[in-house]
Amino acid sequence: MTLNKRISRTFWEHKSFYIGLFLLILLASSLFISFRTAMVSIKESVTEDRITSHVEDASFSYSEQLSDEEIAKYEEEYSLVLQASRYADIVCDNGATIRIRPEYTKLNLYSVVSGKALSGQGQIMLDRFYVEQHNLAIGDRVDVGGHSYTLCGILAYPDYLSTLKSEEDMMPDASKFGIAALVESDYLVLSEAAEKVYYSVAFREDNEEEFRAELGRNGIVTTWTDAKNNERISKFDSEIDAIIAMAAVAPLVILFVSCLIMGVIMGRMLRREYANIGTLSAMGYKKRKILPHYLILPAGLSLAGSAAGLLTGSFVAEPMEILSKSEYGIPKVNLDFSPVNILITLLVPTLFITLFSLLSVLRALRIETVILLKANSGKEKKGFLIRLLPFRVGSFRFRFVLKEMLSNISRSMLMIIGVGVSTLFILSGFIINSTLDYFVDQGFGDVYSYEYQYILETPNTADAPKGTESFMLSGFTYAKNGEKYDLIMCGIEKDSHYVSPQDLNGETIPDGEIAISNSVAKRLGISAGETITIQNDSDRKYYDVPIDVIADVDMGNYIFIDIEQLNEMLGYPDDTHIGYFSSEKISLDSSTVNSVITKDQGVDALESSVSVMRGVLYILAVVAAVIGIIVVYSVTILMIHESAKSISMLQVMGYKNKEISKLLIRSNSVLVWLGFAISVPGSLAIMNAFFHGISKDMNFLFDARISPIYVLISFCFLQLIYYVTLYFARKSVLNINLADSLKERD
Amino acid sequence: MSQNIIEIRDLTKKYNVGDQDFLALDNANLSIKEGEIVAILGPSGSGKSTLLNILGGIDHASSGSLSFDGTQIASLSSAKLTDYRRENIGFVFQFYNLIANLTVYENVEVVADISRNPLDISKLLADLGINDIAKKYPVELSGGQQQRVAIARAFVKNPRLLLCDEPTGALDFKSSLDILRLVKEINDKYHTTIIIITHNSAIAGMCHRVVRLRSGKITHDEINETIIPVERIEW
Repeated sequence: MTLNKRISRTFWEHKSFYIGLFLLILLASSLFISFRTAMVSIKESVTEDRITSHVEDASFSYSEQLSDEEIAKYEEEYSLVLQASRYADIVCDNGATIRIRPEYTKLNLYSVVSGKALSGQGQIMLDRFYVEQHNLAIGDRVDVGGHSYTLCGILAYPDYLSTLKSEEDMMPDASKFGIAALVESDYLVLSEAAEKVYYSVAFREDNEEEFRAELGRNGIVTTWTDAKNNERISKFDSEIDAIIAMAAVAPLVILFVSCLIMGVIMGRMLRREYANIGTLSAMGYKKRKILPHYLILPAGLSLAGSAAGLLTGSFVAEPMEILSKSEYGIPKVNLDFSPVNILITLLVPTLFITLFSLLSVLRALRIETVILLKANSGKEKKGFLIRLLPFRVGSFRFRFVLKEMLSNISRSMLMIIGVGVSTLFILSGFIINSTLDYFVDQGFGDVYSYEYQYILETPNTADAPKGTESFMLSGFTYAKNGEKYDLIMCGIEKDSHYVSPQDLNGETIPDGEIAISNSVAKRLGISAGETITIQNDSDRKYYDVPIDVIADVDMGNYIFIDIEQLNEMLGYPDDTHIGYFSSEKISLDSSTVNSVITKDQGVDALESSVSVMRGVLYILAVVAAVIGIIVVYSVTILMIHESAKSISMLQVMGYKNKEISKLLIRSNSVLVWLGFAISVPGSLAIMNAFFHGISKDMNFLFDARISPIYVLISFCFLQLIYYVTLYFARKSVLNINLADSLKERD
Repeated sequence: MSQNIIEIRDLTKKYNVGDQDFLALDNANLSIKEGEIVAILGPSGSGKSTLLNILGGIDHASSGSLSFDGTQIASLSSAKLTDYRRENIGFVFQFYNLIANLTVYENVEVVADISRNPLDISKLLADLGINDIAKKYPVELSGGQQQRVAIARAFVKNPRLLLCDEPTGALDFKSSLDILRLVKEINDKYHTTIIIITHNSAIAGMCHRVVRLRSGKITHDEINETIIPVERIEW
């Protein structure tokens, strides 16, 4: 059809807009598909691996060594899988400890991330972090305990997603610790003098309490760690769930909102075609000929953008997946592109853009041809707001600016919403930064002022070293709606110098009051004045604990209590403690110390715990900011082109370019400022809801905040985009031939 | 005797249409005295609008000269042309070209706002009989009313040259006569030079001079010895 020759010409005539549209769809689609696919694939791979590798449900240390027969008896009696998990920690020449394990046969089987599985003596498999940290490669020789092995592959253990040496460690350190597997015969040689054993269990029935009671009758369970309380296993879950929640919402919202705005812009662009539609109609073109003509470009372009986004997204998904698992020893991930996600990627932009174009053309086709051919049919009717303006109040220029804004409410709203959405996209990165910075700073700085935290191997009643403060920790379980949640009661000294939580009003919590951290209180719906019933992890007894106050602590699942009160509650001597806080390094018998955590390590650990989220959020924010730029650019272009006729008339009447620019800039600038002003609190509210959504299953509480300097930077950035766009768009409009523009009827 | 306000010498406007040049104006020569009403007649494509646009400073000539009150217009920069339009020229278009989201009053004010010595808008609107629609928007007006507003807008700066491009082309007979009457009154009262471009040769009857154009050339330029009152114009 000859008519369709116009399509490519229309594209080139408005190439900056259409290329912007294409890029926007490409970015939004690519972000969506890559993000969703990477995150869901990681989760699925880990979940699948936990099944195939038979991850434990719990592990425990026992006073008695269980024989194979006893293990078999327990397995049969309680319908469970029980494994004596043997290992040995070998200190290498480089100072690092390698935890060697034989090839387990029942639980916690390793999976091969790269290379090959063990196939005989003289081979070793190591975790990814240790290999990377020590610049090893498959095929290299690795010396452990005076023996040399060939690195045949990289492994991942389902119970070591976080490669922590001790469960009390706050973060992995591959320079000092790695985990390895050897064949049984090699393991026996190496572990001869250093073997330790703990037990791993997987239940088939809900009989944990009975099994633990039986163990208690036959010996002493010195430690019991449920998988969900095991940081090595569960830290990943809370973080990946938060990221998946982000992946489910953020890219989809970005995709929907940006396509919605571009759809509206496209619909408005088509209004300028109304006279042509009228002409075609007058010439005898039927609807079914006119409609496809006007839909080919928007539909084709959005489909092409989606397809390009799908393609680039499939390439981006892998780096995204690598980034997202950077903190964890995750088994090999097979990227699974779900058909639903592919359909969403392809259809959402196409549907939105085409729908708005269709509505716009249908609107034109409902208008009588004779009216279409006349004038004003494509223009907005005068809004009621403009009629409310007092006649001749203020200067003419003031009223002109006001009328420009009010006479076309839908256009002004589009500008405000467009700028608002762009602001949200641009601000999101800054909000993430401010929020996480505050979280990390406040998480330690405001509450904890110690430099060193010493955790002892066992609770004791010895006098605390000079200059230190004793503390006591005890694990509890809180049950709600059939779910169990961990709580830690933290006994601190009266008038503690090192731990000083405040209430939500910023007041110091009086001695003797029991406070719960805000992060866990919000998560579990616990309020001040409430008495909660919790089960102690050691003595399995239930305790009623009255919560006096909510502490303004945004991380952790702590109940802060006076140390003597805690010991009294648990039936321990008053001065029982598990560790010391200190402002200086102290000298303690190393055999009595389980771990030492410095404040910097604590801050680093906290930073590490949000680092993946921070990285992923930054990617989101950068892409969102680029989309925001395209939206502002497109809306500004539309504004200027819709004002082209007025601009020409002002020129003809003798207005200078500067005067026209001022009038236009004033009216549109007000809308830009308004959009920005509305969007700042709006963005905070949206990001707050977003943070609360993604952290609802974590013991973290993120309250969105933004530093004023970031607001200023965002504003300047937005203004820059706006003025640069305005400059180029205005130039093109001011350069049109006045004589020609007057031939066009209004 | 009035001085020539406009002197056109060998004015040519050439357009490129595909591979070929098209002469919209071909060595046109014309002098117009201050205070004259001049009708420029000619069929479509004869070059009338091109001549008007060059006179109004919204288009450039390819060659030749055009002086307005002794100032060469053809060679002025865009900025100087803007000043020229701002100070001297009033435009009236066939399709009014009013700004849709401004009221009648504001459409006139938009020009008054940039004029050195604008006329009193309310008085002007009253003179033109449109004071009662001052608060209305263009879309609420008839064609005749819109053209009156366009005339008010063009005239509020009290221009020395009023350029009317088919001012009655979109109006019925009665409205057309009203507009022509207004034009005549302005000329009588303010001694404004007025150029009217039209297909309608009947309008020429009220003008001091009649210029005819054909294929870009001025074929006819003569003083109208028998000016008739607007009321007697018929078509």
